Amino acid sequence: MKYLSEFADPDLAALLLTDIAETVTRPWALMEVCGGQTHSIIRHGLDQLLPAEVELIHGPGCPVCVTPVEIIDQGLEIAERHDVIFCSFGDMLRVPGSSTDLFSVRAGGGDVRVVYSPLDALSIAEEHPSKQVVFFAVGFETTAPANAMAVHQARDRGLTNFSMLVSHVLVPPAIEAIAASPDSRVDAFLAAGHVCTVMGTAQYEPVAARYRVPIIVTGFEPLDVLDGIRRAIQQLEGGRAEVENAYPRAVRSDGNTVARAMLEEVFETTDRDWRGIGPIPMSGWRLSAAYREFDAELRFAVHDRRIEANNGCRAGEVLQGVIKPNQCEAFGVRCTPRHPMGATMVSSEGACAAYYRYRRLGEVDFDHG
Amino acid sequence: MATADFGGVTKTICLVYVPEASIGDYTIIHAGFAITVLDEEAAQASLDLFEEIGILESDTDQATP
Repeated sequence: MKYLSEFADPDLAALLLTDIAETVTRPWALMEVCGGQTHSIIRHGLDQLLPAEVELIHGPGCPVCVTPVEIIDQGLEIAERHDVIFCSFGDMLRVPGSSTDLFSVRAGGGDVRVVYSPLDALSIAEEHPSKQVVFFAVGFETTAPANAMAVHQARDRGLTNFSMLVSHVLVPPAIEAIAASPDSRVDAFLAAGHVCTVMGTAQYEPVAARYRVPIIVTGFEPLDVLDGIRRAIQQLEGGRAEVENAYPRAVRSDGNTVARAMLEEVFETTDRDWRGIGPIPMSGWRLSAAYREFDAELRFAVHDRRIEANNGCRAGEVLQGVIKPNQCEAFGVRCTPRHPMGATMVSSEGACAAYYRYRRLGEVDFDHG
Repeated sequence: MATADFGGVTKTICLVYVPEASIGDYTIIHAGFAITVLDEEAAQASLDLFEEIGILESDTDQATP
């Protein structure tokens, strides 16, 4: 078993769809939290196969999209320095800051490098002892174990020329913020499977209970997403609001305990401003006191130089599920992956990029039969 | 560290978070780190469940004229 093609089987998908159609009796809105799930849904056209009663709202689970502009600006300021090699995951390079992006900094002579893993940045630091090497540590709980290990290794190896600009974000407080919003239309959440692979599922219990919302831990292949939807609809129709694991091959209830111990050591929770959404209390991680010396924000004394001009980008509304990407006037016209106005059009996990890539250029009008 | 085969492309990845991993296992990898070993029994149980849903439905269909 390779765990991929088996979970894209069209016959089994038809069974799940039939079950959903036979269970649903009234309209429900489900939010898939993770951008990876959004891409799977749009790529496979799952939203078009569902009964008309089931609406999918695309959530904020795109780390690049929600990285606050002031931290991107800090990264840009650091990357412009002549003594710095600035390392980042690739999809961050085109994300606009207040006035420029990392690609432009590189074009202007900055040493900006794309790395696959934060460990690559460590190797670069060892190869260039006369340079300061800074890794841009963005991401959800899935990426955090890698970033935590990089800084842990840096301390073990006594690397004084390595630091991280940290902007980690956490899923459970974001789900809670959406569930608590009086404007929320979300009846149930499909939680991000790989976040739960690391963190487990216990964090969602109080949210499901307090806001009476089913939370289904859901994977990324078509059958995974359909099974998450099926379980959510079953709970909603049955008047239940529980945490349920629809991704048992990758998620255990206590998550990855080895990784969680490392995260506990390296990071501490902090308030975080989500781009397009706003501040969410205790929704991020920063380096803990024991690792503070590796914090690039402190090492380079960068400041908030935000001058965010409203360019007509409606990424915030997309990230909160208020509008679909193709309801934005700029979508596909002034805003494309080559010339993005907002991060949701840049990232491989951004909802706008998914809609553009899979040609959802306008409102889809189809007969639900 | 280990070599992971991503369906043809190979990369060196770190196994520090999956001490139980052995050669031939499938893992989920983020940023160069394996974060879990996939549970084949659980995967098969999911697929069996989906099949069962189909059987239950065809039973229901037969029961309802």
